[in-house]
Amino acid sequence: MKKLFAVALGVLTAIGGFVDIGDLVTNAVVGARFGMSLAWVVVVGVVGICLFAQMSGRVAAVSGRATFEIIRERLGPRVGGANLVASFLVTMLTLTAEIGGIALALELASSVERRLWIPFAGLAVWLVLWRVKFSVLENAAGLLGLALVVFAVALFQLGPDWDELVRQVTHPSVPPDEAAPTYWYYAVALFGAAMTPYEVFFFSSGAREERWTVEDLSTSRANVLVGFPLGGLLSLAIAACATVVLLPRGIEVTSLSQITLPVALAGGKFLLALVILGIVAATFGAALETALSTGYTLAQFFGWSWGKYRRPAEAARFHTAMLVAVVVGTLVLLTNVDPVAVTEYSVVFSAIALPLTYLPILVVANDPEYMGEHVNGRATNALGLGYLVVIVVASLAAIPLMVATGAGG
Amino acid sequence: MFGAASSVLAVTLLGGCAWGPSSADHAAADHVATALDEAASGVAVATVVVELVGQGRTTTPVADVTLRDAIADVAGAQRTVADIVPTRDVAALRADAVQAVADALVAVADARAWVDGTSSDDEAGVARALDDAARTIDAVGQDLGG
Amino acid sequence: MSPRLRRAERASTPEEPLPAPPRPAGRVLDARLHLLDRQVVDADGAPVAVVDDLELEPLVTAADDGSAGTADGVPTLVVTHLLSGPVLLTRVLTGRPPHSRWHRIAWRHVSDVGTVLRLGLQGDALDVLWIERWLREHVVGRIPGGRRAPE
Repeated sequence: MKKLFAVALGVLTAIGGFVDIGDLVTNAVVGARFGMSLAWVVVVGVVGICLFAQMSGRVAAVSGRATFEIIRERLGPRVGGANLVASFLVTMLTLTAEIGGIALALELASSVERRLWIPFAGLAVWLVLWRVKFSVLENAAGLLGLALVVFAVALFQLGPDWDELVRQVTHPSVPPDEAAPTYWYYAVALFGAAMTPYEVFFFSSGAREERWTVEDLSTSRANVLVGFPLGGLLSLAIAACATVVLLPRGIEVTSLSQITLPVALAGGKFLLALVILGIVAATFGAALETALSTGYTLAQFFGWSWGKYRRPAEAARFHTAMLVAVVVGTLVLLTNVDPVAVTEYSVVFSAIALPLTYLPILVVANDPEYMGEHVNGRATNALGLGYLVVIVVASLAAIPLMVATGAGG
Repeated sequence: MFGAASSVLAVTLLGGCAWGPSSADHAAADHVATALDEAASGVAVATVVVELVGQGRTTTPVADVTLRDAIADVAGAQRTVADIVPTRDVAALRADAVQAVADALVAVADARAWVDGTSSDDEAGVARALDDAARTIDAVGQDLGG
Repeated sequence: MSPRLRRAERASTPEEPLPAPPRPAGRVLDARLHLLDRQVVDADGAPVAVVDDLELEPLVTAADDGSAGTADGVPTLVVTHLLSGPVLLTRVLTGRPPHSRWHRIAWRHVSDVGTVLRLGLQGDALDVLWIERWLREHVVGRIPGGRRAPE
């Protein structure tokens, strides 16, 4: 019974924690411009992240080491260093976007200018990182983030033409008033939003934080294989709401407020309140995860003591690094950059960094010295290699597409 | 040899001038169309918000922030349209576009004032202004496309 | 210069099985594979650093007549210290930071070599952790709650 509860909690947390500001914004932008014709990218991205998160969790549970530690050992300081630089920069960008997202959601709830919320959001993120236990942090943010389910509820309330939606999903095509390069640019962006690099490092380090062993592998598998796809469905619901409400009215998504319009239309103040709660929880949770990931990647590469399970005094460099990361992110936002623009750049740069961050995991998960009998099976490897090709193609195409379309303009 | 090179250069430049106006026209028309789309988006958002507020389906803070964002969008569109240096043919259309976007900005700002409770207008009046603005933008857009 | 040996110089003919390699006493470690980039943990299992580089010195025996060494007269090198810190950058690029900047962990403190290198003493006794100690005293320790376990 206790095990069932643990699995259920894990799955719910995974669903609630799946959507971050990148998913929210990118799916809404795409839904309002392209309808459901890019839904296939979300499916591809979700399968990919399931595959690699499961791999990295297995690596951590079986070997007792977090993935990044092993990357440096097996692949050397040059490859490890390149991986570190790419992951760290992209994760910093994502952290900035998430803190911005918290401020945007609080602005929506209160009508107070977002610039006033930014320092508050940064401080709140750091305080929770400082004092709250890892498991409490994870579970609370994940469960509250489940409130985003209102997007699915709203979609049903809106009573859309389901046949049309399904047709758009199953017969994707570039809409007549958009150019093909723009379509593919947003495909890359959506892919980067679904397969966020920090997720795999967070997942494997989290496995070490919670002291997972081989016995916990089935729980981890359930979390990933049930939770993440359901989270992906939530992303699709966000896109579908935008398709049904924003696309026919010619409304472009430039801020968080337009994303909540379908929910207000469908369910009034009650659903609106829930969706704002969900957005705050999801972005706050993601801010915590990205901040922790910056700490994890640095600490594991340089061999510092790390982990939320240690007293801060015993992991001084780890906590200092995270403090600096949160401060830098907050300061960048205070220069009045548009958080939505930061988000859009963070997902594209995530896509660019994907090969550097994912390839080492595939290598390590195949290493019998660390994995023993739990190395990748043939099917996993075949799928992993297939995804590597997709990841490399997306990464190489990202910058030319960004230049050619003026970042999707 | 220099003579030949300079004459080639001269022909290229003059040839460019010959093609210049129509391509500049096209670019200007595209920019105006994009700006009009942005403005139309802002007006559409405002229309939905006014509807929601009228039905009590949204809170004042959310409506206020949404309209604030819409104003930012329409103002951005106005800036774009004003920045364009039109050619003689497009000049008249651009003037219409500037006027249409300006009207839209006023309508959305008025809607925000109504939502915040500082306007003397009523829901019907605000909705009508937004509707008119949307239709004007549509008309200018069609003229451009034609 | 071709690396191929002439027939007369070969140690064995192609038909003979290769001679067995010498089997020295103790464990054989490949420094690059088993030592470099490995995590170093202290006696309590707390992470200390990652081995960024190794300091090698020629072996000096009591006789000290140059007879210590291989048949070629190349002196045997032994690992005297594990290095961490700025040496990583110079290992990946080139060059060598000044001696005073090297953070050393003496080889004699290593008690076990496995997937991680285990030391026989506590982390606090090591120079390598001075940044950790400095931050603990001046930054983390000063912020309220830094010394307590998270709740």
